[in-house]
Amino acid sequence: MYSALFRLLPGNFVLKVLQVVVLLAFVVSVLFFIVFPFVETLFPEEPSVNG
Amino acid sequence: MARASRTSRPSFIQVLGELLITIGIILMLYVVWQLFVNDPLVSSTQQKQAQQFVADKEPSSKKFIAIKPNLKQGAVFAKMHVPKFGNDYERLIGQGTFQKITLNVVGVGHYLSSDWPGEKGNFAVAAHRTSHGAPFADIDRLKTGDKVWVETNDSWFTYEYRQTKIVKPSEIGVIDDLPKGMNGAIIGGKYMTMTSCHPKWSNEQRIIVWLELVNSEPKGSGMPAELLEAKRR
Repeated sequence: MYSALFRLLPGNFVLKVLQVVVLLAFVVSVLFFIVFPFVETLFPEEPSVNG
Repeated sequence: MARASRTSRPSFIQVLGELLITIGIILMLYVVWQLFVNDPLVSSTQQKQAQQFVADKEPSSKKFIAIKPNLKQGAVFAKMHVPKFGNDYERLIGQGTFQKITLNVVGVGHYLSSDWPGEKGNFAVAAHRTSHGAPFADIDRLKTGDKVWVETNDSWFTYEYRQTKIVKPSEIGVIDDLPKGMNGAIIGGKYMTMTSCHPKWSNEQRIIVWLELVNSEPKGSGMPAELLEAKRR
């Protein structure tokens, strides 16, 4: 799957790696700033004071 | 073998394997986010929010909600200053200890069943040890001689450190008016109890810090001199 994606990216090896880095950074920031904050609101209230 | 798979379509098992690895990485990233990304963000937000409540009644400052029975959960009625946690350390105290209403948002939560600051009995609060700003991350560093200042709408209360104890989460007597397990506690004493999780990163036990009221003064003349000095240190 990922090897197929890597082959689909245009350019030589260095350009491909650069694109992968940018894509990863994008995915991680979407997770950190949109997905995870939302997911947290879905967790139920714990019965006692935790952590 | 590598050459053969290079040209062929990925097999079902291969895609499934990569998806499972991806899910695993995302789950680990959630932990990284909660502990190393969200925690400092929330911490600085809590500090900034606390600083908007200014000691002197300046027009620009936000006001604490006056203390009265049946205060709404999450209502901010006080602020605590703990120089031991950092020179400028200030955190708001909200009513109740529900995580989503008070602990994860305001910072420090006041146990509904416990007394108000400065009163006879026990003013008991809880806060996270790790995650969500971790207001009580350094609670274990409080030692003899350390002081905690609690600021309300109209007063300053100074509490002095007395004792630290590690207990099971079920030992709720520690926030009683006569704190269970506190050495030398007497009926009618004016105590404060800080509670948090123990050890760090764990939910197994609770760390309890007991303090005793040593001074209370009405607001108006600004921050108590001793606190000002402690903040400059």
